[in-house]
Amino acid sequence: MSSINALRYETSSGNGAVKQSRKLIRSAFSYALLFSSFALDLAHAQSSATLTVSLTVADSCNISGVNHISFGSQTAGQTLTSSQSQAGSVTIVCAGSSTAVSVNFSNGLNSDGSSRRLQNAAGGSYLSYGLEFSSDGTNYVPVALSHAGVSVTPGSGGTTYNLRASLPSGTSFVRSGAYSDQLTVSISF
Amino acid sequence: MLRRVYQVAFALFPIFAEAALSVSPPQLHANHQGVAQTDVRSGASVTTRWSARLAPWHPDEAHAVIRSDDALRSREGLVSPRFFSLRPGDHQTLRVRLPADGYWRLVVEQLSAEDSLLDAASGLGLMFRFSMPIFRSRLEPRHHQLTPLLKLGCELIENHNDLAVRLDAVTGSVSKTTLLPGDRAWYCSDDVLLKKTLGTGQAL
Repeated sequence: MSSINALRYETSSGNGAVKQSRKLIRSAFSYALLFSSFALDLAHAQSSATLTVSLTVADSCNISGVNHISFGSQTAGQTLTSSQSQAGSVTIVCAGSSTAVSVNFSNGLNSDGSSRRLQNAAGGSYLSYGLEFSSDGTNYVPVALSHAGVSVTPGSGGTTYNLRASLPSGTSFVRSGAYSDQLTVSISF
Repeated sequence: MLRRVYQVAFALFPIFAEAALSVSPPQLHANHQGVAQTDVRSGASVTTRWSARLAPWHPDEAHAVIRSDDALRSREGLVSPRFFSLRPGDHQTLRVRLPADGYWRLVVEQLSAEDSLLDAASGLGLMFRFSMPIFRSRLEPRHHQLTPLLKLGCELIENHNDLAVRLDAVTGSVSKTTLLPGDRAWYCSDDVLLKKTLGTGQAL
């Protein structure tokens, strides 16, 4: 740095400044020698090694969803005149490569082979319910028993898939008590 | 005179807790010793319990085959740990040693906990199960970009490679996204597959 300044100074100042410029050059040369000597000393004092730095960024997927869908309370002896639906959702966020995912819903614990059913905690009494799935939040399609699964490709910003469970119109609440079922949501990568 | 009203309860009280799990990576690659690993992290608001096991993956089935407990018992030693709990924010590394041959998936399944709110509630409880493929070769799965279908309908695709192939569809739907050697899948225009699969309940 200093040697460059000295040369520039010389070209811009004429003969009167020659001595001063030579002095600056000598000074710069001395500093350069001093620094190179210091650098050599450091090199001898330290041992060198090669350090390889690596980083692996693995794909990652996060799945979240409600773990419970409630139908609320009904009064025994009543019959539904229209279907009653409750919504849930499953949100899938995948970072990294675009990972295709298959979503599958089980038949529940109380299926009779033709429908999914809620069971009375005391046993012996069931209420059929329907299940629907939507990948766009608008168009719902029924999730049949033993269905083959729905293939989706969630974006890195997260894609929410909607689930809707419904008690059909005409459902009669004959026996009081708590009714429940348990569905397994399978996420296959 | 007071009229006795019996309630049919579907929920003792409203519960909308979030169940969440992150897996990284969701598709595993075994090393030359047949060992693979993945990391799971809980984003749930309560402590959750999980089991992990190895399940055979057959070319003619889209998902992991969940065998009976008896069939899986002999494979228990191949996954570590087999059972674990995750508090909110906790993570767990799962290690798998593959059998000598065959295709396998790591299945991580949520277990109901006696002290969880889920079991105390009526209504519809949702449990999660994650099925992650384990590939033996670093080259697996090969990627294949499907050519968009120009008309409404479906096409059958077959994997003639020696390695598993992963299908990527810009448009339309595919019945299986990962095809093992010799495996087949349907590739359909938008909505056709979804309606066919869910509406009829028949595996394609």
